Amino acid sequence: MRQIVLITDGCSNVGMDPVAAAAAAAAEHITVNVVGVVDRDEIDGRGVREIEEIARAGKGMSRIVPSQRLSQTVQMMTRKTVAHTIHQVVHRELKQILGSSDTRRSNATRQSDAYGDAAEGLETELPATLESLHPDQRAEVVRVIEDLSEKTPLKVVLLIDTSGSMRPKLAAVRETIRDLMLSLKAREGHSELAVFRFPGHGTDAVLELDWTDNLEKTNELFYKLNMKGTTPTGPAIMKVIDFILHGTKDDEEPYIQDESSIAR
Amino acid sequence: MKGQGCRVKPMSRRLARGTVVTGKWNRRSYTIERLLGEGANGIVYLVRSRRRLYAMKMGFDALDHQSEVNALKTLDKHIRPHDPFLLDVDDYRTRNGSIPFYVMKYIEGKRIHEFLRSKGREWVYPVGRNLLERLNELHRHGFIFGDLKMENVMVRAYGEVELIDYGGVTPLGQAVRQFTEIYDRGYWGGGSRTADEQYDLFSFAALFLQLLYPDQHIKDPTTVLPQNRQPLLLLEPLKRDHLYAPLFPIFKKMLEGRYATSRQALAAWREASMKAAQRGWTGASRTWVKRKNAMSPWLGSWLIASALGLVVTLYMLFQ
Repeated sequence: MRQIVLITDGCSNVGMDPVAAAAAAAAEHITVNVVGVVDRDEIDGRGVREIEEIARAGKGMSRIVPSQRLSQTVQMMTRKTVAHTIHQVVHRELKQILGSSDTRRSNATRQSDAYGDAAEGLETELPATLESLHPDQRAEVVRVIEDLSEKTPLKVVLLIDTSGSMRPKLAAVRETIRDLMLSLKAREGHSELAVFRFPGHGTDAVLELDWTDNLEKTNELFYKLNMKGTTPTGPAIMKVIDFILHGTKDDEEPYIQDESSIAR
Repeated sequence: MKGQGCRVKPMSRRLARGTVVTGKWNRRSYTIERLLGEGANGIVYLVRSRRRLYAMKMGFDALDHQSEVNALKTLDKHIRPHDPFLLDVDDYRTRNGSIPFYVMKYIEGKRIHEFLRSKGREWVYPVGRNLLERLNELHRHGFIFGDLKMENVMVRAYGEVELIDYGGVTPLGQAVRQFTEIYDRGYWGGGSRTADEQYDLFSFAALFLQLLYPDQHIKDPTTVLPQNRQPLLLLEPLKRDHLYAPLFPIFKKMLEGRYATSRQALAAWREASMKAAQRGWTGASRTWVKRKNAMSPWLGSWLIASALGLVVTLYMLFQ
């Protein structure tokens, strides 16, 4: 199972539409989750809409949180996305076995809007499929989902916006990566994490940390960053999709630091 | 915190007092009395049904909610087959869709920190012991509690402990489902986030040390830098605290993950309680004991001296 978690604090401003890029990811069965990190600075309506749209196109979830809740949020999203994907598979199987049709989907969508903390996007069809089952059957289904969720192999790419306004939040981002790694390691299924940052120098995104399950490596992240001010979210997503599907190409030097980079 | 413009989530809609909730499947009805609390996975209400009080939890997410129900069911089956915690599982149909809920026993008591604050420091021993017993019960049946924190530990009038909110309950060997940073072994760099008995014991120690010394209670976990997260630092105030001295080696072992099982930790705790009792129970009585000990030699010798003097005087008189 493959996921991208995009961590940003505003709008993209160059290159391909990030929503289209997220749709491309979804087509490759890669889920895109988005977290908007907002501390003091407000995010405008356009930024919020873009974040929501990217997640919707990427069949993932979106949240806007202050940086102290970033770590928690990313963990929750990762966990829920796995459970949700498994649930879809289980649901398809169930449909075949029980022959039940999913007629109450629209109902559930409205519910998640009105009733609290249900996450944007993901849960729209989740309650409908589960709630149509009797509580006893539901218990069994959830048991299967949980078991598979725990055991399925998982690859997560964190795509970090390191443009100017994100700088003060990078400590929280580093913490989030360390913490997510810790939780992934605890799973029974094999889990790996990679980290990309954008913008790069002359490139859209730079591989900061290749697939790893090593906790120690997270301490060395983001010490050299680019000064370039653009936010090429769309192209960065495309680059990550390529990385997930094909790995790093030989002609690229992922860890090289450009001259214009500065120490934080 | 969050700017007005970026609030994308609508507020949770709470149910008003007097609302009647009728289950879609089992058709049982409950009247909402008041809000008891709101957690990560749902809202808990005090409800009334046929003149009896219960607690009702309404879940935010059908999957998470069901997962908690499953854990509760398993625990009821194994741990308390004749006195189940979980009483009803159903859905509440509203105009906006269904909300999954379950009904459980209403536990009248205080949260652990309120209890200890109101009852006094010597209660730490029995309450800690009872909590360890609860954890051990779970461990014996292949689960850990996971999200051990002040809000999830209820204490009844005489120190009996009940755990509430089973959202973090995890089968041994799997990734801990739900946790709170300041009591989490991973956050403190004390080990993995895989469910084992030591995980709960770590949280137990972190919880108690923050309970006993509120000065070091961490409100915002992001303010502590990773390099400063040394769980043994939490032990510092204990070195100067004579009342809890017998607990020092226990907390230390818990933080270091050196108890193979919670049963061993429980045995050590009981022993420490005995030791503490022999030394004089409370902080208050200890100082009293100390003062008495300090006074009595003088007082005693003075009394003996005057008694002797009296005897000698009387003897002389009657001579």
